[in-house]
Amino acid sequence: MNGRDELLRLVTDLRPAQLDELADDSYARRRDHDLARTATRFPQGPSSARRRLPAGYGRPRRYLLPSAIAAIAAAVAVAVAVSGAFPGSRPRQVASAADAQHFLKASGAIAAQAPATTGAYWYVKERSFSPSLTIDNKSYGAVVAETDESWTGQVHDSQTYDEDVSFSFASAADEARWQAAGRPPLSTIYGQPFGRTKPWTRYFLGLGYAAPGYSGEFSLHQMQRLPATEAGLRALLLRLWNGPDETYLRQGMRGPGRPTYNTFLVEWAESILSGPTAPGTKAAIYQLLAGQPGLKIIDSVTDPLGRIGVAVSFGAVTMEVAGQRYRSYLLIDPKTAQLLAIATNPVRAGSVISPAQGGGVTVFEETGWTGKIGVSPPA
Amino acid sequence: VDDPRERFASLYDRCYRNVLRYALQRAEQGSAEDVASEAFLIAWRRWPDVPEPALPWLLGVARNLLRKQAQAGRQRRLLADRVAALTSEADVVAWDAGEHVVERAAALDALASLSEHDIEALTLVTWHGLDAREAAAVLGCTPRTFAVRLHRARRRLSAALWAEDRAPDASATRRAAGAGRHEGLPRQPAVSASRRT
Repeated sequence: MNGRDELLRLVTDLRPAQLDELADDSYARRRDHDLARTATRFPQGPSSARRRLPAGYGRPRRYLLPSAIAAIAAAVAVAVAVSGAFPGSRPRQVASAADAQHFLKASGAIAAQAPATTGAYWYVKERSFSPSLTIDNKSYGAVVAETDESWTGQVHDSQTYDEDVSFSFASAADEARWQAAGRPPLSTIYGQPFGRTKPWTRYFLGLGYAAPGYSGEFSLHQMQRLPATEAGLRALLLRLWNGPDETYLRQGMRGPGRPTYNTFLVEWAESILSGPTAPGTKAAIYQLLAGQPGLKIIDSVTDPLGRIGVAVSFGAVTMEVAGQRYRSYLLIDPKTAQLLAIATNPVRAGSVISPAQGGGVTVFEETGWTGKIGVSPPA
Repeated sequence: VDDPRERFASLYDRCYRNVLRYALQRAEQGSAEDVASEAFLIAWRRWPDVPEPALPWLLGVARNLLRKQAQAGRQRRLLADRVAALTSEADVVAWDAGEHVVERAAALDALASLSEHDIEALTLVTWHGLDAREAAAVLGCTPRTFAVRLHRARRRLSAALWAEDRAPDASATRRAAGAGRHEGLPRQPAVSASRRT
């Protein structure tokens, strides 16, 4: 039981044939009844409601402070090219791909200079903001926020989910609408039973890191030893993206779910920049990102924790959340080259990323080495 | 085809069996059929909201309805129990032990030793043919989150199968110990994985 293909093929073959027989029988028996029932209960036809949009989408940006709105106006008026890692304090909209390349290469140079560190466990503390829907997938403009902490070791891993779960609404009107509907329970990010908000912890044995795009898993040591040159990392990622030659069941690297190379690279960038990787590897991924088409950077974007960074997007790289597709951004600290957040929310120069708009934001609150599960890295 | 009724009928024809198969993993036939029908009723009521492709959205609604049934006091069946109940002699005969190295019963035991959470991730991509992005849409999480779930489920299944190979009587011990315990690590808190699926 070594190959992942074989493992999933085994699960596939455990599928009882009776599922198909029952489904065919039920379809033949119930089709006319179900369609007639639908027409009877809703003779006026389908709801004329607008197509579902992300929470808060299309409404005024109520989370923005007046100063932020003024900053956006200033940014639109003054679009200037920059050199260096954005030392200026004025928010600027930077559209040039050359500027984006320059920024990413500068970030790579900063990352390369970071000291190499190691430890027993790689610790990541993330706070995620995501649209929250009701049991019938209805949106009331609610956003759920939760914190997860993980400790990844060479042998043991642990993860604590759903800390500090909180719900908010894009507007008072949204909340009133939800209350008027009888306060239907809202979902949390990991999809546990509605209304449950208690933290929970799981322990794992030697799981390592889930590499993006079904490219297998990497242990802590493997993550630390990823290629530290642009050419070496490119070769590895291309090999992983091309995937195995054999058919990976009906999906996987060569199936319909295969990401574009551009998307694959950005997903790997998230793992490398937030993971236990060497400074050279972080520098190398920045160099690879700098060579991607459709680069765009947006200066002075503030994450939900109040940290200011530079948002980078990559052409057609998008993420689908709850049936909607959003542009993906990496928010990078220009001074340290650290990944601050992954966002699928609209971002503008000088603005705060609003959790109420878009498909979600994951903020990396803290990453680093620690000696023990349950303990965060020393300050 | 511009008529919404025709498009709805077409959707029903394409997806009803998929939705029912998903529901059958959680509920007995009568309840599962009710869930599938209700999912399509919701789709019709909220027709402008239904994305394309619609199947992940429909499975997500069915999943929520199954949870609602459980909350209303109707027994929601464990995935492993449902799989066992649906398994027939034909499945046993069709199993190619030479190809899979392990016997079907041992493989089913290993699958059953996983949490509901893990089994759901595995079956979404194998039995229902969804890719990671579609499966993430069913669960309402990001593809990144789903990839982590699937990765961990695969690793735990691999560990369970390895334990089967090494210790034939280990599965009974694992079943007694409960899901999530089979790695010999501390039992997880009261919020078990099976409650979270």
